[in-house]
Amino acid sequence: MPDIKVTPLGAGQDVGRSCILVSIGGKNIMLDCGMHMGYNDDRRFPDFSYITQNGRLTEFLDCVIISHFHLDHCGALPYMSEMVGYDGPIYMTHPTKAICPILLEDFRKITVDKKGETNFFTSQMIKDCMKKVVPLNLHQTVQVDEELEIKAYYAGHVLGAAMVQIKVGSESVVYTGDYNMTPDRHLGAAWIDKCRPDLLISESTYATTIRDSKRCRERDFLKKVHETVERGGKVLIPVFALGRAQELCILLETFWERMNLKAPIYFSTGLTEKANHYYKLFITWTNQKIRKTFVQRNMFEFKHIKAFDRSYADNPGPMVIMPGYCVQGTVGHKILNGQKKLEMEGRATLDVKLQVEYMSFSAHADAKGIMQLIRMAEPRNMLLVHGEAKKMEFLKDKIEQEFSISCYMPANGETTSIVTNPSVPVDISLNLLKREMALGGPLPDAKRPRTMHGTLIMKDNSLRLVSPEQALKELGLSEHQLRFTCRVQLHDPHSDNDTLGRIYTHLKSVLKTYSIQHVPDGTVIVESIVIKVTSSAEEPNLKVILLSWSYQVNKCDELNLN
Amino acid sequence: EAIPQTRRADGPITHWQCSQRRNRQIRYKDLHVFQLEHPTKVIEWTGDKNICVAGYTGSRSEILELLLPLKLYAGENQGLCAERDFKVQHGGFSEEPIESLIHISGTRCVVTSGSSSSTLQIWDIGGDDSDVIKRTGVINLKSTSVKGCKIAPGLTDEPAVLHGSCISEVQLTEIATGRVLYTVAKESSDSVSGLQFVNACVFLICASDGTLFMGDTRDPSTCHYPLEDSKSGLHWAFGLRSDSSQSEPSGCTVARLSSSGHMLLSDLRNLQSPFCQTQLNVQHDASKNDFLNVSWAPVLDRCLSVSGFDGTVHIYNTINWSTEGQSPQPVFSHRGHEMSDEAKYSGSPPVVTTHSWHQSRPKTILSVATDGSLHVWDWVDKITDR
Repeated sequence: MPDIKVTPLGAGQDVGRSCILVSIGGKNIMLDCGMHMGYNDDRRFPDFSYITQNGRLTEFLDCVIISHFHLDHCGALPYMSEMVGYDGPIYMTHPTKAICPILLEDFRKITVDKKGETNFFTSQMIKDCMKKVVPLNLHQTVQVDEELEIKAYYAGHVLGAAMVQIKVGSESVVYTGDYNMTPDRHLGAAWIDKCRPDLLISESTYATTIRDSKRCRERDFLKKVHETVERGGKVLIPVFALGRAQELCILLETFWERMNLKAPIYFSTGLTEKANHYYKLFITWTNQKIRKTFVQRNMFEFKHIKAFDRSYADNPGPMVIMPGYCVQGTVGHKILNGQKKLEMEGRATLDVKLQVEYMSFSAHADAKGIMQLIRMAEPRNMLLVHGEAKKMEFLKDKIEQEFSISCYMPANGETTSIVTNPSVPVDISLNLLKREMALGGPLPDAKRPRTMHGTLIMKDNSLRLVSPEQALKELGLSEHQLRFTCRVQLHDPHSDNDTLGRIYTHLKSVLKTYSIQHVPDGTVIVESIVIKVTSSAEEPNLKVILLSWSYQVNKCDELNLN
Repeated sequence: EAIPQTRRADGPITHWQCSQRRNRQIRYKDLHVFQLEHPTKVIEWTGDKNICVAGYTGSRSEILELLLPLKLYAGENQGLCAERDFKVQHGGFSEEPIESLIHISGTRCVVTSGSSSSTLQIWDIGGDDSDVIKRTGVINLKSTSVKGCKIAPGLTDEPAVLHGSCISEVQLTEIATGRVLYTVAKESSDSVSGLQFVNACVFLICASDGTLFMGDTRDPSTCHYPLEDSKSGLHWAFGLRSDSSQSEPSGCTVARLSSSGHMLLSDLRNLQSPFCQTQLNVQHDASKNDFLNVSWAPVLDRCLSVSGFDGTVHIYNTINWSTEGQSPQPVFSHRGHEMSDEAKYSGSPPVVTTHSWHQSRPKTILSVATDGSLHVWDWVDKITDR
């Protein structure tokens, strides 16, 4: 049976990284190639031995697709392409292609230069990996090869994040990566058309969450910031420039304007200029409101938010707010874990005199979001990755009941096969169509199939239905007509003609619905069966009835010749 | 300093919160706003940190057991706890809209009554091995009630449920066996507004017309206490305050609330004459009788809360209430449900369907409304919390 196979790589229940293998229509695709941030050894890389025990991956994969620049989705890409070995195409959106190498280099620097690890990719490997990238535009179909095509859709979540549709013939899979169904201040919400894929693959890490409203989180954040500023303290926000930072900057800027506040806000990052440049470059990836305002002024040039100067670090009292993920090994990560003393290289220990607050502003889809996406895309099957099966049964039931589709939840390392029912398109010749129409009867109806006869020619990757005569002509064969004969003997004292006449009369009386003719040349024709009567001179009473018919199955079965 | 023009571009809640902040009045210690997929009219505690909610719109309803946001419990480390979301821990499906849901203390069993069947449904919420709430049995009722049969958990060791939609049908049924342990021997077709056990044997029933019935499972007769001045057309709800679930009647107060805002407070020792009567300043709308709710705060002394008239929850301190005085002022009013985005755009403003006090945190309340909103809030008493 034709099927689609999905295997999330990874062991056990770990949810720290995305790397999913899909086999569809004879093609193998790798979706995302993430690094697990919780491990310091080889366990952080996906286990590619599932694809091949040793050796390069090029011949086993038709393409690799990266959904967005977060390290748990692209962190292992240079390792996969340069250290394990893959030379095929790597697809990602333009913003992802621009930002990935920055993140990867940053990550490499911390891991190798600061932590001294050895089995890791180099700067050159990151560059070589990015040379294999083919950028994608939204809603544009890209032919990977003659049979495999892919298309990217807007996913929200972060700049450049995409959901991808993969299509081979009439089978298709949609992979969501990380997405968000509610728009925020700088990004829109995920959107996809009713593409009705055979399978929709979605992350389910937040599927059992009912999220606090964005307003409440923002209100709490602004309250903390405002309270600190009112006390005369300062606000310091170390955050990766291309993640939630833009969201918070817009939030703070708007609040500062509304409340007419004068205190400065410092934005600590080396990427500020680059960040703004990327947002200007990729303005079409932000939401409509930003694009509209962009004409008057650049939303990412802030009046109240400035670059940080190191001399401010020693003042007591400032509140540090760190939305989002602080990579393990960084000072931020240590502080968030409650450390009060930090050992800095080349210096004595530092005391943490800051009041620390941790808030999560990440944009993910919850159960309601997953249901909304299913309603949008109308998949025939659903597959959830990165959830614990025991904790997802209710969601699975809910999806199955509401949409009458099957919902799969493979464990990492487990392969799920989804049977598809692909339609096979066949071209029908005009002559054959006309002939069928001429036969009369009801018009073709999708709900009530009608039997027809023709010859199927499979040639040069195409399927055609033509009349038998045309097929014979194309194939250069001559037509043979088969006629079957049968002789029946019976004793009758009458003349041959009279015997024939009696046969005719008898048949006429028992086969009332059939056309029976008595032709003057001495034959009786029942539909297309020809009946002749002969006898030999030696035995005139032994009549031989010759029956002859051509191969028309349905008619012959109905006639009961006695 | 000049107070700048506020722009409402960011929505009513932010505006409302900002205006409070500028006035230097901190109204909430905490406020979390959530949106359930389907509105609920029940909130029932199934544990220290867990509640059950259930749908009542649409023919098929979901029952959900939710874990409260961990940030509420983080205490000292609240700053470092990022968890501000509810988690769905268990879920199940019911074939009918759910009107009432009760939890049997000490078990993982809940009982529901719906608006379209003549049975009570018994469910097992489940443990760690599965997240599906499964139906384990039914209790057959004598009739179907559109408003759903009223139910209350028994307080004996053997799980039982007190149920009835009209006075004469009230009975106590053992859950495991279906055995009827007690029936109210009262020929009255008055509909039940609510019922509750005071201790293992003594129970109270409040009829829709405000009459109170007190019974004891050891005694076949029940006493009834009609209202002195019963006005027709009003619907009554009640709230029982007791010091613990095994109280003697002497420690208990009953509050009765009418759909026009009339409030009666009675001591269980003297249900005939309420010790306090007052009129709350609320709008009467007969169509909203369904959601009338009066609850006593479990920790704060003589503090009660009222909802169901509109999109607000009012909290009162009854210590200073007197019968002759003016309409009492609430010490706090939560208007969050009226101010949501959904409320702005829909034709009819949302009504609070029910609310519930946190079992141990003195001022934390959960409230839900007809638009599916679910709020968890910790209010500040202007007077005492300076």
